[in-house]
Amino acid sequence: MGGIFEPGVMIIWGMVVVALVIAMRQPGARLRQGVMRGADMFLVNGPKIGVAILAAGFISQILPEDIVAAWLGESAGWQGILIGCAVGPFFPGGPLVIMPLVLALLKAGAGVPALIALLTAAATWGLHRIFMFEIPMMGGRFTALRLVSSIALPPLAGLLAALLVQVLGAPAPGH
Amino acid sequence: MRRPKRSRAAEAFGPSFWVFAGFAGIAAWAVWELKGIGAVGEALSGDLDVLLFLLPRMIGGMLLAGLVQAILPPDLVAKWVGEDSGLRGIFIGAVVGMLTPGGPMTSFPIVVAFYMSGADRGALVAYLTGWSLLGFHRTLVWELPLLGSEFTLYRIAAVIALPILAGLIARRIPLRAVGPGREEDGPTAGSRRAGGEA
Repeated sequence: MGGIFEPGVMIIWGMVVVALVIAMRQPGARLRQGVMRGADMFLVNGPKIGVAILAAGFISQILPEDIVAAWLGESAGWQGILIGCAVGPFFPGGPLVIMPLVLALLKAGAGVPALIALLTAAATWGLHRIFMFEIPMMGGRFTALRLVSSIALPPLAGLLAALLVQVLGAPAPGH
Repeated sequence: MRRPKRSRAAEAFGPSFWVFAGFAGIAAWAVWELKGIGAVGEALSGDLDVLLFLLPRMIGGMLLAGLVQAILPPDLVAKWVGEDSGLRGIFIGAVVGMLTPGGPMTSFPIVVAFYMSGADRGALVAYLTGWSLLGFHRTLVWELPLLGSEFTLYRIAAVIALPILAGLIARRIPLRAVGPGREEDGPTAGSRRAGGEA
């Protein structure tokens, strides 16, 4: 639990070091700019992430685990993936809303394939973004073209995730 | 991206902070009512574990996101997708989409710019799909810290090829509508207004 020298942490910080070296070699104040942006992001998002974790922790306590597990659990198979696809497009807003909810569902026993289908559906068919941005900016025809092109992606992602889980086992619960 | 210093605290503790805080409060009350004070303590200690687990990842992830944004010049990005078509165009579109930081206020103005400069529709669809599914910024700032590295890796493995698939399908769909500036249905005045916000 939570050691500093775990692979996940090492990979991220290794990439940070590479980016730092690249930024240092570039002309101008790239290094300073980048570090400032990172610090800025942390200051602006840190408190939100903190309360999001709090909310997710409490919500997962009251989510009915038997129902979540039966509908979205690994054993729910196709059904879980389809439910994920159906629910995803209705999730409002960006990652700020979706990620904590997915975390709460994960804690309450939802399976990885269903959640990956849900996240893919939210990303590719998200109604909120389609109506707020895509149709106003790109027009209805382009939007229709993109939607038709990505109609199969969420179930496909769920299916691929189910295959991964079958071959590699379920991912270790991060926390 | 403009972010005057004074408003940072206002942004950090803006509406979404209070909405979450409200949700947390209501959910905590519900847990107390339904399961008793013990369950509230259990949830809190679980949250503390999550937070300790996250902090080193979150700080690294945000630092990385900031650095990549500073390193990648936006004009270069526009050149990559704008000029090309073919499988390479789709591939580049997907990769550039993944590298585009920020929310729809950043990505849609870029798509409109690509569209205007004659980018292939397969590349445009690949770009938007790559950005929305695999945007590195969102993954580093939100997914990795909240859902953990293994879940994130599984998801990336499951969706990594999908932007290219969507781009290839988009190119095969016999819809003549997508030609830069020719159709009434193309990018509108609204997009130019919003473009200034990026």
